[in-house]
Amino acid sequence: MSYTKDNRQTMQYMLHSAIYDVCFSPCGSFLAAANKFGDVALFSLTAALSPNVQDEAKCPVYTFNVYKNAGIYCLTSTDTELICSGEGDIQAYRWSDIIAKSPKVTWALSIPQKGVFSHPEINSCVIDSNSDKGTLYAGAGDNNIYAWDIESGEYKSCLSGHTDYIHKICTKDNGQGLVSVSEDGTARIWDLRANEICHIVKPYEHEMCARLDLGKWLQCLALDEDNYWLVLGGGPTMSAWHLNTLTPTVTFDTPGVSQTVALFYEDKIFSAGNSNILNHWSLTGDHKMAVPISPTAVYSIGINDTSKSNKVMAIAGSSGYVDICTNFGYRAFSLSFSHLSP
Amino acid sequence: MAAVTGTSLEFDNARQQFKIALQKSVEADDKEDVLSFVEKYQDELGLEKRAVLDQVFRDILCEMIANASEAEHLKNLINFAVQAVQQDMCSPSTPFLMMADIFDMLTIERCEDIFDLVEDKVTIWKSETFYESGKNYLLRMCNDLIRRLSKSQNTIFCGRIQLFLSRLFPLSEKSALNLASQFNLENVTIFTKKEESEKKESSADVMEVDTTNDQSSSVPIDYHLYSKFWALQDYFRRPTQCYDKSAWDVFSRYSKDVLAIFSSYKLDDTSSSSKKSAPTQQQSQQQAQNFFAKYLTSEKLLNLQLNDSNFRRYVLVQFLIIFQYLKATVKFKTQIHTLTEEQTEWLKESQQEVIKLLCETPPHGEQFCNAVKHILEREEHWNSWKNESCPSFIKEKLKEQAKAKPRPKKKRIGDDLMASGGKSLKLGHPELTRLWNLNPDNMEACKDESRVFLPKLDDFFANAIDQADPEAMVEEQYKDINHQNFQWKAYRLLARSSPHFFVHAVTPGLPINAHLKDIVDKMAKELNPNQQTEEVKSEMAVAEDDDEIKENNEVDEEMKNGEQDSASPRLQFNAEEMQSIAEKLGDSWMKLGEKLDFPADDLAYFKDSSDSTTAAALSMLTVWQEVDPDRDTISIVRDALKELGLTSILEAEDSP
Repeated sequence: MSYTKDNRQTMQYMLHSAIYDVCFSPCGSFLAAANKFGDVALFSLTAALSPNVQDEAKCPVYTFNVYKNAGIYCLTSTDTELICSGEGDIQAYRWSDIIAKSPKVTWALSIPQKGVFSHPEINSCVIDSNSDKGTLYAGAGDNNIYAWDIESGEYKSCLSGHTDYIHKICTKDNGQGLVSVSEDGTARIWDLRANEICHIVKPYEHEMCARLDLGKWLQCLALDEDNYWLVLGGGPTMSAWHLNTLTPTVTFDTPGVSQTVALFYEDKIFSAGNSNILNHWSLTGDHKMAVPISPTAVYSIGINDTSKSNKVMAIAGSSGYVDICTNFGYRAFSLSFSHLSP
Repeated sequence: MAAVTGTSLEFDNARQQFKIALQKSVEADDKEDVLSFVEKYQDELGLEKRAVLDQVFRDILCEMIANASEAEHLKNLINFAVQAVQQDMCSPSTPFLMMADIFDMLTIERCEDIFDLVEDKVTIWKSETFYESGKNYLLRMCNDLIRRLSKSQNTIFCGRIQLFLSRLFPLSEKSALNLASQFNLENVTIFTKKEESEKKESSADVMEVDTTNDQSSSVPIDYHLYSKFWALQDYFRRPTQCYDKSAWDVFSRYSKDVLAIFSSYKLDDTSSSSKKSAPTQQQSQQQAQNFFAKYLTSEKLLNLQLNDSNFRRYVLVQFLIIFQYLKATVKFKTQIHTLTEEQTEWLKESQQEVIKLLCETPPHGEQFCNAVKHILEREEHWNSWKNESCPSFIKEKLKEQAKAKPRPKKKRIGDDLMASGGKSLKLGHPELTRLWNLNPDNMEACKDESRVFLPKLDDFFANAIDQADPEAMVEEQYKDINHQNFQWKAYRLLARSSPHFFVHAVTPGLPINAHLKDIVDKMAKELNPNQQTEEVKSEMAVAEDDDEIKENNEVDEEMKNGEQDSASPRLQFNAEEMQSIAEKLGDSWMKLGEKLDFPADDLAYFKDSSDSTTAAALSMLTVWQEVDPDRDTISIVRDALKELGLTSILEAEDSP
């Protein structure tokens, strides 16, 4: 089964495509990318990285539709399943089925209805597999964070407190805590055991990083492995906060450019935002590299850690292409979402 | 036949004995021993002792090598041989043959030890005894050795040999020079090409998780970059292919991509961080760096190579080299080998980018970049030297100087004079020679009577004295002393030759004529101390001879009417005389002019500037007279007129 598009859609794909998230398969050989038309495309990294690479290898090996003309905002992967979330129900597909080109929805979850017309989108979705139960958290457009038991599919709880929609969430301290950043400019640290807010961080109020001309919203969120540093960015300058004292210690200044994605990797921080530059930072705030990339706004950065031979960085954003960096210092090539060659 | 066997027996015999002697002296490290032994050695047949010693040296060397002797011993033996050659005991080629034997038979490591000796003795090899016979041996030996060495492993030893050769041969030796600027096309960089990996690809096409493939390469490889990157090496190897249109397109595209990656992928200055902690360690690390003559092109290394600042430098410098070559005017480029304007522009931009990248590449990027720029400048000089078809470095200045020295000296005029005994001198023009030889002795010429222009005091003043005599009854206005002309001349003359002039004047500010009158009176007294008596006499005489007095009076009358200078002998015409002569001359004035040595164009000038022949003749005579007032104008003109047969004019002139 292959997905067919009419001419108009092809045009849309070419001109207006935006890829919101990328996700590597558990085996590390495939990359899934989700766009604003509700399509998920599967790329073979092995083929794209082979010595005799041809243009076909840079196109998806398989594309399937999840939401009809509605964006997929987040891709999450478990050991066996790919979880898609966005403007619709949370849907899970088996990787093996996708790779075999016959995807089937294994399960689906929907946000509890609060009214007839409330269909909030899910902007960020994380799975806490550390705790025994295995919980899925979803940051939604209705300012709430919802939690489900992943095994049973049972709705567990709702964390509310944000005053605007949630951009991104992540778990901390082995699933005992959760951090969320929101359009309202606050980052909230939740205690999941008590299901209540521990701390509220307001970077827009801090003189080190406030940039009121760009707004107070926070979109960029990253935690280092030791849960020692919290990186927050968006309207305010991206900055590293000391989690214990909740004070900003280092800023990563990108004048006039808000950072939307950040990622800790080894002793570096990668970040990107509303410019066609991928920044490399040291933890002390030194700007190491500015790598030119193709999208003008970046929505997702992924590093394929599971496979050594396919250890690449994928950068997706406001274009129909996914940039691949074999060596993180430069853009090696781009994968094209549509079947049109790049 | 018997003689032959006799010789060979004798040779063997001598060889045995020499060998024993040499071995002894080598062990004792006493060179004199064996040399004196050979000196004394005599045999019946008068063998060529040198040949025997040559052979013995090689025999012993062979044994030593076979016994794996120490390098020191081998060196020692060669030193022996060198000394033997210096004392003319064996042939000069022996040490070279011995060294060739050594390098042929030893392992490379041991060769490297022994090569010290070759290097140390370079001045000996260059000496007269060894150079001619040894240079070919040495060259062959070195080339054989280089052929054995690995270009990537033994780079230092290779360099030592090359340096030795360049020291051995004179600077002007061009045999090792790449005269036609050919490229080393054998330096092919091999890398994994698409075709070779085709098989792998077909298996990877299968839509399965290929775990074996995973293990084969442990890091992701950007084959795009890999192939582009190493494809560039082929352009670096043979830059002329860049002048081909399609090849240029590929080259410029690939290099643009590679440079873009270099500029995107900035390297960390690791040295700056480690400098603070341990600068000495950093330095020692740099010193211990390995140099590779060839690139390692495994695709697995690419990521590491991109991280390596040294590697990046190599490649960037390669870019600079090819850019410089493409722009340079090289004699051996053909007509096709020119760049379009667009290409030149691209080169310029890329060159600047490469320089910028080189400066950014740590450690000490700018320092390194400046060094490279300097080296490339040198390369330009080298290139232009080759374009001028390699002129000799030895300046020929000395020869030119030597040639310039024997330039003929300027002869001095005096030398010629001395040669002719002071009698004649050739000046190269007959008229000049004549003038110069009027009198060879300048002092004599000056003393010549014709040079005495000063009139005698008595003669000059005779007239004035006469006039001063009251008896002469000359009227005041006609007296010479009242004429300015006379006054001036008189003063000049008095100043030079009269004692009266310097007498202290009692009354200062006396008018000139009054002063002159005093002087003339004094002179008159000196001349005629007994004037009184004479006066009386003359009075008597007057009475006696009235006619004579009348005559005298007439003459006086005439003189009064005549020219003003009448006090001295009359030399010049007055205006009336000149006018009459001019009138009478008429058309023949030109002839007179020629006689008076007027140049032709002067005559023409007189003719043109005057209306009539009379006027022309008059102006000519006036000029001629004025040129030299002291000249005896009248007599000369008279002579000239006589010669022209115009005596009629003279007669008219003589009779007033």
